[in-house]
Amino acid sequence: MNKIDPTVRRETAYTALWVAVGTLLLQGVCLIVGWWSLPVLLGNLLGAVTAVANFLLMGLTIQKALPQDKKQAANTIRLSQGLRLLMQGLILVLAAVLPTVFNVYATAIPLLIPRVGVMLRPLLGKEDPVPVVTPVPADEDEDDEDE
Amino acid sequence: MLELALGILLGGCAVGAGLAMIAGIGPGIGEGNAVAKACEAIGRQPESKGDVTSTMITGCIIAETTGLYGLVIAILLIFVAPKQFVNILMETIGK
Repeated sequence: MNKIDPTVRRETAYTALWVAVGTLLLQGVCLIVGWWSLPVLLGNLLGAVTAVANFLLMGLTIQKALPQDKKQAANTIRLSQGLRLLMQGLILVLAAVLPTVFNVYATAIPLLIPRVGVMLRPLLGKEDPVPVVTPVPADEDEDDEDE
Repeated sequence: MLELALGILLGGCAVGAGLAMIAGIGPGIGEGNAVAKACEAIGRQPESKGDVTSTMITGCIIAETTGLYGLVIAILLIFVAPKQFVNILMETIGK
């Protein structure tokens, strides 16, 4: 199995944090308003896990696609996006056909939380990109020394 | 007459769900183009790989949520909305 890129790991952790906060907020709102029930909790958890898994899979696909050539990378991402959309669709269908186990609204809302996290990022803090050490090819080193 | 109204209602929900899923096509194409350009950028400047990846992941998640909105609307139109619309129709006829 390939090692997960530090950037992908960091972004997934950030998204997972936002999804956890959003899920807790949603549960709190449901408790206050009086809509809370077990299907809401289970649906929320299912949606949260799916949202984080979707983000991680997207990051891993990007990591896999970056070293490829342009056309192949675009095709890889398109295929991955279609499959991930299908996965999320199936999860939502599962929630919709089992209303006694999952609440479909509570399942759908956490899927949209990562966007909220991304959009609030500039407001909440600064960017701190992970320093990535890229190995310099040996030929270039030699060229530099010659110059 | 009631059958016709129900047919139009359910057909409208199905057509609406299909139209909503058109939103799923765009993000795939957009993400593919973004990654292709990122490959180009990293090829030119390998030292910016971390920054480019981070920015691209952010862009991809924003693009992808657009497709997700369509998906959620389609699922709700197929599985949730018909029952509520039928209830509204029945209440209206009952009055």
